[in-house]
Amino acid sequence: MLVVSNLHCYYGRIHALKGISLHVKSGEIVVLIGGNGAGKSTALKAISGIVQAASGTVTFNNNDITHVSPDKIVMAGISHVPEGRRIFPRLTVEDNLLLGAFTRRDSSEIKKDMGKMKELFPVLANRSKQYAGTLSGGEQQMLAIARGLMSRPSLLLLDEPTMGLAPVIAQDIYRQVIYLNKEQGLAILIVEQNARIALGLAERGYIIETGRIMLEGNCRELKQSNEIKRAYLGKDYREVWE
Amino acid sequence: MTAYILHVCIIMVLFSMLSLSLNIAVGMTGLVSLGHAAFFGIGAYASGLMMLCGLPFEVSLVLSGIVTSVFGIILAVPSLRVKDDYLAIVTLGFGIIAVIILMNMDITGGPDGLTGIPPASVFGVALTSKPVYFAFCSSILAIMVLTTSRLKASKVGRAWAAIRDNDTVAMFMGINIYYYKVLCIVISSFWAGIAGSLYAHYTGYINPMTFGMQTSIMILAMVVLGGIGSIPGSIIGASVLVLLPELLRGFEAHQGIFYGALLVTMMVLRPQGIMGKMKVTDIFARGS
Amino acid sequence: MYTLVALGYTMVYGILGIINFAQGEIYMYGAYGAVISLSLTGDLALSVLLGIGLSCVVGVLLERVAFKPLRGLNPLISLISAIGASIFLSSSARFIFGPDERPFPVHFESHIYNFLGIDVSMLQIIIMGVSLILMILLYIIVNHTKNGRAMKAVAMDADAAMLMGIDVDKTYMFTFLIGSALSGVAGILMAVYYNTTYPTMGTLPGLKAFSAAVLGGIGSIPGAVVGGLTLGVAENLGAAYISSGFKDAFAFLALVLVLVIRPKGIMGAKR
Repeated sequence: MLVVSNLHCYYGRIHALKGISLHVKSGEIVVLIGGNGAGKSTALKAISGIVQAASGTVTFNNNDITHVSPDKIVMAGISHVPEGRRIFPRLTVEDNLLLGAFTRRDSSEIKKDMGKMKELFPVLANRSKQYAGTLSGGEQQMLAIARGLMSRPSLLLLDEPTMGLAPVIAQDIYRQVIYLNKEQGLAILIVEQNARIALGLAERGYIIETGRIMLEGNCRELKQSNEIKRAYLGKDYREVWE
Repeated sequence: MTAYILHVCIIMVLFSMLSLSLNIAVGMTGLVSLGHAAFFGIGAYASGLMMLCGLPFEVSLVLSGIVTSVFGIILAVPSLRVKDDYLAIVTLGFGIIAVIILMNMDITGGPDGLTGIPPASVFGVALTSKPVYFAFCSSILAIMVLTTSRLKASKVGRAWAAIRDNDTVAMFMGINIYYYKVLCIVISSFWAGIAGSLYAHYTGYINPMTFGMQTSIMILAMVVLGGIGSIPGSIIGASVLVLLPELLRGFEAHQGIFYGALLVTMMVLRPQGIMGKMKVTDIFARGS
Repeated sequence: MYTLVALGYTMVYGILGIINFAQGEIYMYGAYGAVISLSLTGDLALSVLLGIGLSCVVGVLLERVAFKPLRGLNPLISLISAIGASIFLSSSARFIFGPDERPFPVHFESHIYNFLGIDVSMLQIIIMGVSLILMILLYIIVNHTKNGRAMKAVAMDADAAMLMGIDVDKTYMFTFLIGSALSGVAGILMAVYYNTTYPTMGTLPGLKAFSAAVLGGIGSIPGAVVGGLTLGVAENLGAAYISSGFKDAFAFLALVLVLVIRPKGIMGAKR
């Protein structure tokens, strides 16, 4: 459903993406793994239209969305949950969710979806009138994901959803992510630094380094690859993991 | 004709001093002021009054710089509690208040201003002729450029740059940011005061309106136009903005249209200024 | 009296984070628009609408030309651009409308009422009433509509707002539109009240309105109201008890004091 081909992007004078190509099929979880400054976030931003591509194309359901404005991309069904959560701190939880549904006009359906989000993330239900800035990090992340779902996307882009969270909470969040994928058939593209978590989660993965895709494949194969073990999982990977 | 050209040149030099002195605050330390003309005015009035009381020019020139610095400290102490655009607004407020005070005091002649300020003379040599005065002002500007560039490259300059880029980090580095900010205002207002004194003795007549918000904004515009933080930029910015109205003489009342349009266009097309190397975004990253 | 223009400032600053120095000029154009169309058509309601319309057009053009390209840069750059725009607009007004004062073509007969020993004219009541209605309207727009929510979201985090599918450009424009309309109304009211319009009529009220906005806590709507009222009262008390020559100084003295002592303003929550 999403096909990115030979995408180049610049951040000021920095050549952040040097021709990356990747795709996400419907109903699939795909991870994008890489270190700091590898270009993972830029890739997501280029897909959601926040960063302009210099060359290359992004197509979604066979429509070219390379130079389409971000609001049109949201309407097309891609929702981007940004790095660092970026919830609106001085708006209530409820207002944050409503903003997620900004592009929709079906107010009765929106109300129904609000209810669903509160079921999916019960902590949000208790705090719906609270300022989002008063939530804990994990709750904010849940809010950010729920907010992203409010536009009823068919593809969700998650940028480091567990960064800075306690392992227990990270597990919680990934449990919901897998649920969304398995039960609702939502396609998800996740950016992660933590290769161990990421490879355990997804079907396929891409390894990105300094703006280029270095490796791609099925997660099981990637886990076996010596290069991955050395670079991302640590030398004593086998002992720790098994 | 030559007299007219020289007149424009002298004004250019004086405004170069003002824009350079403001650049010390804005460009080197990141302290934005919208009330710089008030320092110019304080210098002018101080010097004018001292000479009317019979002090010689050499003394009143230096004293007016010092008096202005003292005012600078008085204003800096409360103002430096705020930063960034809030500082700009506080200085704007002070600038307007200064003019209103000048307008309403008897000693300053109220709205009529001071008249009959004696012309400058150094050690008995009168500086009445325009070429001589131009040379005199230019040499003071040269001293100012020299000391400022020395200062910029010194430890003080580095401390200022650190404060400009991130004052919290500067504090962690052990820089007494308060001290360096006040020092910056002292130096900046000293030079503005000197420029004021030179102006007062050049025209022989001063009134409060010269030192109002319009002038403050014009000086800031010079700094930004020339390039924030750039010493040659300040002089070029001042020259352009002094020359422009002169060149637009024929249009008289409507020069504001061109002047305003130029500022907007300049900011849109080249926000770093004529001589600026850094983008202003790099100089002041927002929020950090 | 300053409250309406202060609201315009607060909107634009709160959302865009820029000080629109040209707000006072937008106010002036509103007044001129109404005065000129009134002298041409004689229809008061139409002229008021045209005046507000002119304010909006000027405001939106201003945003497109002078602010939009500078978004994301240092506020200082926008400030200079705004100052340039302000000079440009008042000089072009002098060019278009001429430098002389123009009286408001329709004279309002004003009854004087006496409330608890204070004389209040009908005109003053109308001005206060209109201001009050507009404030309530604005409060509702910002806090209880979708566009209002979008405005707040853009103010907090423009990138994240973009990810929500909010058209940030449109939101900025909408903000400017409302801010300009408010200033336009204020300009017309003042033109009626003082029975005059002139090219620089916007400058001092603009600055004072800005002080009022800061005084009340910039970005806060109730703050702008409180700030406007406080400023008006402080100014008149200062003028009455100390010296009328210093009247204008009080506005700015209040501004400086508030910023230094309580930078958030009276009602401010931000910063």
